[in-house]
Amino acid sequence: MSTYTEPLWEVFVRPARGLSHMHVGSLRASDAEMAVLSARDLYTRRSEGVSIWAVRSTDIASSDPAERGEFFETAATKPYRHASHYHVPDGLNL
Amino acid sequence: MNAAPTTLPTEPALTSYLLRHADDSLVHGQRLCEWVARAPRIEDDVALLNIALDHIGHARTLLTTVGEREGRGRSEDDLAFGRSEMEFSNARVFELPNGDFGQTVAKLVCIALWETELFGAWAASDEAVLAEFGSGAERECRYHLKYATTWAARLAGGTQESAERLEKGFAAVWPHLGELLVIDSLVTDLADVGVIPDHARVGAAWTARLYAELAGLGLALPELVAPAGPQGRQGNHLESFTSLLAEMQYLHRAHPGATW
Repeated sequence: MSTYTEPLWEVFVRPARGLSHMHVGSLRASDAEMAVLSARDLYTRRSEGVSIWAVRSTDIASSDPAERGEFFETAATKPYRHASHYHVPDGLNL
Repeated sequence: MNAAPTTLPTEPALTSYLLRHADDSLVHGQRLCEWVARAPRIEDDVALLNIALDHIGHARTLLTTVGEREGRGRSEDDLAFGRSEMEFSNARVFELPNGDFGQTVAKLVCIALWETELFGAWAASDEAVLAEFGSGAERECRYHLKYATTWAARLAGGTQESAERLEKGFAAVWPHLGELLVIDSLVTDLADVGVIPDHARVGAAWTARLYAELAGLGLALPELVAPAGPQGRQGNHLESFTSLLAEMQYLHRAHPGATW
């Protein structure tokens, strides 16, 4: 099929209470209600979740893959940003 | 399983009753399986097959129970694959060919409404076999109903073609629904001693919800009436049932007892 008449939706499933919704995939649906129904059938049929979010793919703002260098790789040279550089005082039991 | 259930005063009537509904589920599931790789899109391919598999699951539970209660040593496989056409007691609507997607949605609306009402009534039964099965099955059928009615609303309010196909679908299914309202001596006898729910009430609740659903879709169809004469429950099936059974049973018949 070369053309789709139905919009694309991104599906997020919360695996259990207390955990965050995680992106699991995408699907085609005519509207929000159908998207949640289809997500239930496609992505939770083996007890994967307790809650579903469906979001129109076009409503998601994302970073540009071409800008990955300036966006993310500069952090790799700044180990001092990690909490591991704090020294735990002697005598403190963690 | 011990032989105790077969000595109950309601036997063999309750086992025959369970077999009817086991056959409904088995045949409905098998028919829906024909949508594999043929649905309008992959989302509905999976959804329809989930519904089919739920029904095969219902059939497995009920057929196993029937096999245990009748005490003739027949397994679920023997009952599913070893019986001939006239020995199946499913109502005809369950074996009805799928037609197009519109007709399948129409069929699913009618059947899911029926099953939600029937299994809901089973769940409230004092008979443990019915209560245990009914509560689990009713919950599954409530989802089938949500799926079917959600699609029905979109077809009815979609394009002129989708609305026409849904309407034709209901018209094709309609003549076969009245059989579910038949109350024969088997049902009356079991209901009189309180083993099964009152089917007149189940039928009335079902038709009331069905007519309301149709009204919401902007459709009107004649009032359903129980047909006279033998139907699927008496082993009198539609011509198309032969090929459904042949496809379902040929492997087991060609290789009895095969495992993989």
